[in-house]
Amino acid sequence: MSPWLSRNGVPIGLVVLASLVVVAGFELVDAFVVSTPVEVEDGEADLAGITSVAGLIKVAAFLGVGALIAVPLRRRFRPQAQGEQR
Amino acid sequence: MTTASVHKRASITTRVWLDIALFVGYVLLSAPQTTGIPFHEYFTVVFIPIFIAHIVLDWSWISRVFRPSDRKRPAETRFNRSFDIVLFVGMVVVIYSGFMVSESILPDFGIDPNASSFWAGLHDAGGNLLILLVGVHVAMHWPWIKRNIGRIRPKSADA
Repeated sequence: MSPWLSRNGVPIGLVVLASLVVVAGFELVDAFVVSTPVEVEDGEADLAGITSVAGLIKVAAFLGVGALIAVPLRRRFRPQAQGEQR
Repeated sequence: MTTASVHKRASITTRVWLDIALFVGYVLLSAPQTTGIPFHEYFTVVFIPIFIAHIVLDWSWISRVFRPSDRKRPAETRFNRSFDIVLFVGMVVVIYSGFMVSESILPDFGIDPNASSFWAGLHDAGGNLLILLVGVHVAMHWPWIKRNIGRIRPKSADA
């Protein structure tokens, strides 16, 4: 085992464990909600023209809106003591 | 430069490069219309260890802000702490639901993903919401990113 892995074994284990807890929680929800099977399409989707570009535009727009949401939050926190930076 | 500062700089350099890889990878993953479903699904397998490494390399910050303390933590820290939990849960759910509605990677291995409207809806809605949350996350940690992105620029020889 690499030294990095052995040094970070506990955090990695906790992240995996937390992920399993989240998945188990949603599997539990799935067991109780009414859901219908959906048809799985062929993975070879057509990537053509504007649809292809639209995917990246959508991501950029959503990220931008997210960053804009953070602006008033950051402004609100600014007068207070500086947070503990990661 | 002391050994400790060399180690710290190397660590921050690693983290900055990892964060850049994570962000670029996330943007590519979030645009299956652009990259295609097979890339979207196979690249997720590459993305997961980068995502875990992102958390593990920031473990000192995580363990510090979650440790009980006598003094009240700044509002920004408390917000980031709660927000990052929501982001983590969202990321796990979107990744897992993606496998549950797999159109490429699981069928390639002969596994029927047993897709349902629950997982399909969760993956679509959660995926879109997650992009917004990632935007907030990046903006909230922007001071750290701005401060450290300069460190990865190569120093000129006469500096």
